[in-house]
Amino acid sequence: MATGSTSTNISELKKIKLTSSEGTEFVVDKDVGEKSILLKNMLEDVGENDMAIPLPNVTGPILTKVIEYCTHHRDDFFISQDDDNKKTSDDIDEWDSEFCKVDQGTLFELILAANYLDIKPLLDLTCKTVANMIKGKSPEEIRKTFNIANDFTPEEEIQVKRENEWCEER
Amino acid sequence: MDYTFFEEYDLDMFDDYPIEDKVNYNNNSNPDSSHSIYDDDSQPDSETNDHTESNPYSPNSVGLCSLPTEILLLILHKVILSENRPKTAILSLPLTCKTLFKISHDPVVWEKLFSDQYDVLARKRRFRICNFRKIYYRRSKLSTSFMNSSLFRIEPQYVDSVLEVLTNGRNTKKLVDLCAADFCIQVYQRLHSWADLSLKHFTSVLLTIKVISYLLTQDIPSLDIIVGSMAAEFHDRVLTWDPTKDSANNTLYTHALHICLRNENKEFVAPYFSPCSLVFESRKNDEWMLWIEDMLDMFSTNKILWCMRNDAYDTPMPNYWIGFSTNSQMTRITNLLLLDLNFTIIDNDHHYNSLLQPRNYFTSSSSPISNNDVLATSFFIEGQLTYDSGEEIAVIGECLPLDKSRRVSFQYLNQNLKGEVWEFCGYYVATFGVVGKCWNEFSSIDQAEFFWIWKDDSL
Repeated sequence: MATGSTSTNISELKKIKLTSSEGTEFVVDKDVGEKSILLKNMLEDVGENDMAIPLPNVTGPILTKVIEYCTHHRDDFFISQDDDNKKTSDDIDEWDSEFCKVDQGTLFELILAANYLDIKPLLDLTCKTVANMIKGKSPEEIRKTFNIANDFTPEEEIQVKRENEWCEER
Repeated sequence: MDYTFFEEYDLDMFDDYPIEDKVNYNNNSNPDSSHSIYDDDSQPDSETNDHTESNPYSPNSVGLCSLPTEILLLILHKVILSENRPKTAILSLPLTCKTLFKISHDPVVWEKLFSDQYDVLARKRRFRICNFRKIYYRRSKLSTSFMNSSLFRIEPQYVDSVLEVLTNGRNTKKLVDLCAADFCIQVYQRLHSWADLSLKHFTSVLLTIKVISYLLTQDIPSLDIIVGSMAAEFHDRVLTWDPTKDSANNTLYTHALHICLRNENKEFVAPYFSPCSLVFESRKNDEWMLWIEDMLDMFSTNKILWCMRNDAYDTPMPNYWIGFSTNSQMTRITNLLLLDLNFTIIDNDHHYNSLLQPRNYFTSSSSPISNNDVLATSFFIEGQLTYDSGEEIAVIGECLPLDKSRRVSFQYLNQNLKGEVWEFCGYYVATFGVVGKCWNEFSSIDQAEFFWIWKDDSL
């Protein structure tokens, strides 16, 4: 995500209401909310009104984090997906890195929320964070990190290893 | 899930797994489920994002494997990009659990990565069907700095100028311009001044040989001297090459052999090569090596060869082929019909292993089938081989795109010799056809003789 120039217009001063899955109401600046493509499209569709937009798939704590992210990046221009794909997982700025220092459950829920709300930069950031947690680890370390059960039978595991023989160092 | 076919088909097995399966397979991260070998009480890694006091592994929390497939694929994509060589995505993720196994084999992700990094259209034409996961990983093992440094040795003086010529248009005639021939002469002279055509200069050697080899197909008279010198240079090397020990580059040797054959057979006179050459011996030990070479071939010669191949390499192949062989019984080959010969990258070593085993395609009464299915792993051929005497023999058989697209083999039934079955085995190299060895059922590859067939443009 690239930082762009600050712009001030009327839309930034307007507020929108969001309701989390527990029914908690959040009031945010419209330009912050419109970082979500989902919300932006909804606002364009329904026009201006004071009704709260229900977000049944997002809990209050996660919505708080999402708003925090969008508020921090409210003045950023979101670069294209193609350009963003070229960035490596190391290209995470300091604030974003601190932002992602959450427990795994929160991180995964942030991913789901970003996906649901269609906030590409947040989805990208959180997925990169997970990728960095996977990078360089052995299967056992990945299982341990993410508490994943090994559901291979010993025979299957041997077969998977055999399947990978082609890429062993020679 | 059936893992029976891992070795043979690799990720093809997942090409058509149902959507329902994709939707439902994200539920195996239950730490309480029984499993076999990594069963321990391991606690989460301290390096993970455990920065709060909440328990990320509570029953209600979201686990990695319970994320939607599209998100897991996005994570896979980023894991791959996070490493120069995607070892984690290749080696670790598939062994973690079944969910991540499937995710890490997703062909779309690997194809996208491959396409993003390399010449998409040109490569896609060549890799009609292939395992992008393997290609991407194997290419990442190449020492591009080495290849670049080698290429750069000749680039300042020669390559830039020829590139300008070659890339200025897509017309084949561009390649027969004197500029291109001059380029070959200059590069060849420089190469020839080097005492040893060693791997150190591999890229430039390959480049030159290929350029010359290509130009030979254009019948440029001015290159006769070069061809003669090259043939002399390569003669001993071709005869003594042992692919199992000296498989520096099979493509290079194939081109070298082509030059030798061309030099010795301007009028289709049988060459003096004896079958003692080991060029076409089986190469059981270099299957991986060949892969690397193929990649190297494509990478190092990319700038020039793809320009040329845009003209000739990827065009639809003509049906009929002609040529000659050094066998006294069959010096000319005419009207050989090769159907649907595609450049394909297929891991079919099981075919390779049986390549030299006795086969019989003629027990079936069914006619040869033209197989246009790009997923096919073999292609049928039929046609006529014609003796000098005018006698014709029927050709029928199977052409296998072995060794990741280059090796071609087929059998033919010699109806004029009591139904004698002959084996053809060789390499299909871009612009000049198939060069190889052939032998009948009563002899072995040790007694095989050379053949060379190419497309018959006169038809």
